[in-house]
Amino acid sequence: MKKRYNKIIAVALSLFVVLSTCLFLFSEKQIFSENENRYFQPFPKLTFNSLKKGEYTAKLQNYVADHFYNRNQFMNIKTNYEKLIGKKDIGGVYLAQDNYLIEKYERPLNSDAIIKSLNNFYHSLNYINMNLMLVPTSITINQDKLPKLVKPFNQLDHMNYIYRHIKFNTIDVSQTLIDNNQNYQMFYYLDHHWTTYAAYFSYLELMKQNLMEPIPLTDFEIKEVSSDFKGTLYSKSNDYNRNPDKIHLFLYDKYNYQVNYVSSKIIKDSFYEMEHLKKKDKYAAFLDNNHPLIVITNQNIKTNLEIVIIKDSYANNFIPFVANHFKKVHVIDPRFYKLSITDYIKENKNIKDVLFLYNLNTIDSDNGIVTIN
Amino acid sequence: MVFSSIPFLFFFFPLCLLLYYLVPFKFKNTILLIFSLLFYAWGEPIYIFLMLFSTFVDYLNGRLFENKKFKHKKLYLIIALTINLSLLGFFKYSDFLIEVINGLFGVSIPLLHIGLPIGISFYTFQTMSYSIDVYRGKVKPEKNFFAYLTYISMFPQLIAGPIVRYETINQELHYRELTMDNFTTGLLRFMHGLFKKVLIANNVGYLWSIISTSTTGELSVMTAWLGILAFSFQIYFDFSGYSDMAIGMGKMLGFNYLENFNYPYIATSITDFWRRWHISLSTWFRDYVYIPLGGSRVKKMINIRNIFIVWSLTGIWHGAAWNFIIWGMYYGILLLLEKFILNKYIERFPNWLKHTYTLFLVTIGWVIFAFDDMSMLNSYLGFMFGIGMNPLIDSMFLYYFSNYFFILLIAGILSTPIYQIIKDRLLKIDNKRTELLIFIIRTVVYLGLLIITTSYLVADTYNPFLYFRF
Repeated sequence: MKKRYNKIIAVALSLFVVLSTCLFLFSEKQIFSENENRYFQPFPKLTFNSLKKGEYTAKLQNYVADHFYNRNQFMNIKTNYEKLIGKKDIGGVYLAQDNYLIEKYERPLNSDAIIKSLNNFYHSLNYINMNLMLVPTSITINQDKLPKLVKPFNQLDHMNYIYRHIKFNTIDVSQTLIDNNQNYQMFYYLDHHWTTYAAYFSYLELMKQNLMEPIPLTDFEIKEVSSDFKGTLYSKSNDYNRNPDKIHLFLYDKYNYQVNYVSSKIIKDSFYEMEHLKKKDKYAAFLDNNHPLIVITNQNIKTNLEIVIIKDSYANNFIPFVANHFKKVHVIDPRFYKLSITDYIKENKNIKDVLFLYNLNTIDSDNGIVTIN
Repeated sequence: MVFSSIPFLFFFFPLCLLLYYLVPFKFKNTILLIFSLLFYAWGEPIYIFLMLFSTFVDYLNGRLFENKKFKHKKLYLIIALTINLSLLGFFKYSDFLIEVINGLFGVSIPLLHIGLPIGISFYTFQTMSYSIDVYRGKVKPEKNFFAYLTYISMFPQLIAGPIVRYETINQELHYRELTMDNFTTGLLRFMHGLFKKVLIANNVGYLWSIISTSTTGELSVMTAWLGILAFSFQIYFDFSGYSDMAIGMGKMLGFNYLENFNYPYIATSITDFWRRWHISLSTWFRDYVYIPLGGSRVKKMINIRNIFIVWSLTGIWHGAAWNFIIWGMYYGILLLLEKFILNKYIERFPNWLKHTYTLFLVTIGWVIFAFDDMSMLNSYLGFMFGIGMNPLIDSMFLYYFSNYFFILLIAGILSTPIYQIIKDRLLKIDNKRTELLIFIIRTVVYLGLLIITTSYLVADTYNPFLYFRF
C-alpha cells in the first residue's frame, strides 16, 4: 500500500522532469531577454579548444539555464518562496515599504583613488570652473522605508569624505532630495535611477552654486509619457507584485536643440528617444541610454559658453535642464570614451566649465573615473 | 558537472537512466561507464587521463596478484601505492610544499599553479583500498578492466564520495537486480539530497559568505556565532546532501552503497561524532592506516603516535593548507583526551551537557576548517569570544537572524532524527483515509520542493561546489 504511494510520488516527480525537458527542447528560443536586459547564451559552437578549456560545457550550462522553459516564472517562484520564508532582500535589492525596491549599498573601497584621480584631473586643467555632484541613492533618501534593522553603510559620510579632499567646487544635493521627497517622488520605485523631479531640484542646486538663473518649475510642461515602467530592480528582485513607475518629461518649448551622438553619427532634435518607452528599459528614453560622447547644441543661446559633463546614467535626465544655459554641452561617459578628456577640453577652447555627475553607488565601482585623464 | 544543476537533472541523468534501463543487462555497465566518463570530462576534459592511468595501475596490480605463487606481492603493492600517492601528492600538495620550503629556507621556488583534478582524493582512496584488499586476500581481483573502471569512475560517487570499497559492490558490479521498489526509494533519496543541497546548504552558505566576508571590519559576538552556525549547517547539508544523492542514484542503478552520515550533530562526544561524520573516510583511515600501524593494541605512546598520524592525514586530506592540518590535529588531541581522560567524566554528564560539549567543540573545529588565512581565523575567533571589545549584539545580527530564522530552524530540525521518527510513525498508521491524506500532502510537498529547487537552479545565483579542495 505505502509502496504504491511512493511509486506514484516518484512518477509525479519524474513527470515534472521529463515534461520540463520536453518543453525546453520544443519551445522557441529567445535571443534577448527584455526582463534581464541582456542577450541569452546562444547555443555554443563546438571547437577543440573550447572543449579542452571547459568553456564549451560552461556555455552549454548557461544555455540550458537561460532557455529553460518559463524562466521568468521560475525566477518569480524563487522570489516568492524567499519572501515567504522571511527574506527581506533578494538579489542585492531590499524589498522596502511603500512599493519601493532599494538597491544595496556596500562599503566603498576606492575613495582615495577617486579623490587623487579627480584632483590630478583638476590640476591639469585648473583654469576651468569644475564642479563635482555626487548623488545619494534611494537607500539614503528613502532610508525610512528600508526593512527594519537594516543599517546600511552611511553614504553621506562617504560623500563628505570625498568632498573634504576635493580641491574644486562640490555640490551637495542630499538635503534638497530629502526635502522634496515629501511632495515629489525622488526615486523610481522599481529602478535604480532618480526621477526627473530629483534631477530638476538638483539642477537648482547647481545653478545656485554657480550664481546662474534657473528656469522655474512652472515654465515646464510636465508630461507623463509612461505609467508602466518596471526597471532594473524589478528584474533583479523578480518581485512581480509591485506597481510600475511613471516617467515624466519636463518639456521646455522656447529653445531648439541639436543632439549629436558623435560616435554613431546620428543627429536628433530632441533629448528623448521615445521608442524606448515601448520596451522594458524605459529610462533609456533619456538621451538614448549611454553613449561615449554626445554634443548638444542650443541654437538659441547667443553666448559662447560650453560645458563638459562627465557622468554616469544619472545625468541622462539631468542634462536637458543644463542644456538651457550653454551654447554647447559635451557629454562624456568615461566607461565608453577611451580617449583623453583633457585633450578634448583643450581642443575645444570655449569649454570653461566641467561638471562631474555620478551617483554614490557607481562612483565607487566605475573604473573609468580612477583612470580618467 | 554537479548533481544540483539543470544539465544534470534534466538532461544527463534522465538520458542515462533511459538508456540504462533500455539496454540488455550485459550492456548496462557499458552505458554506465560511458556516462561516467562523459560526466567527468564535462568539467575535467584533460585530467580524465590521470584517472584512467591511476585506475589502470591498480587493475594491473590486481591481475598480477591473481597468481598465488607470485613472489613480489609486497613490492608490487608498494609500487602501486607509491604511484597513487605520488599523483595525489603532486597534483594536490606540490604548491603547498613549495610554500613551506620557501618559508623555511628563505628561497623562492616559483609555484606550479596546478589545478586540482576533481575527485582525485576520492578515487585515489578507492583504487588504493582495492589494491590493499586484493593483497590481503579480502577480495578477489577484478578480471575485467572495464568493470573495474566502471567501479572507480561511477558518476554517483566519483567527485564527492562516499568512498565506496570494491568489496561493497563487487557482486553488484556483475549482477544486480533492478526493481521498481529500489528505483522509487532511490529516487526519493536522491530528492532528499537535492533539497538539502539547494534549499538548505546553498541558502545558509550564502549567509556564511556574507558574514565571513563582511566588509564592515568588525562583527558582533552574536553575528560571528550566527555565521559559524550557518557554516556548520552548510557543510553538513552540502556534504550529506551529496551522499544522499549518490546513495539514491546508486539505488536507482542497482547498487547499494553504505551510509556516509548518521546525524553527526546529535553526537554525545567527539569520538561519537567521528563515528557519524563522513563514515567512509574515517573507516578508510581506520582500516588502512590506524590498524596496520598497530591500532590501539600497542603501548600507550605508540598508540598516541598512531592517533596523531591518522588525524594529521585526515586533516591534510581535506586540503593542502595549514588550517586543515591544525583541524586534524585538533581532533587528534580531542580524541586522545577523551580516550585517556575525559570519557569517564563524559559518561556521567547529563545528556544536554554531552550534546553541548560536543557541538561546541565541533563548531570551534569548523572555524579552523573555514579559514585558510591564519590572521582571519584569529580575528574571527576573537569576534566569537568578544576579545577586542566588539559588541555582543548588533542590528546586523538581528537582521540576518530574522531573514534566515526559518531556514536555520528547518536545518536544526533536520540535523536530528525527529523528522524521520515522525514520518515513520505516520507511515505506520493503518487507516485508509489518513493514509490517503498523508499521501496527498507528501505528493504536494515533494513536487513543491522540486519546483522551488528548479527555480533556484534556473536563477542560479549561488551554487558553490565545496569539494574543490578535497
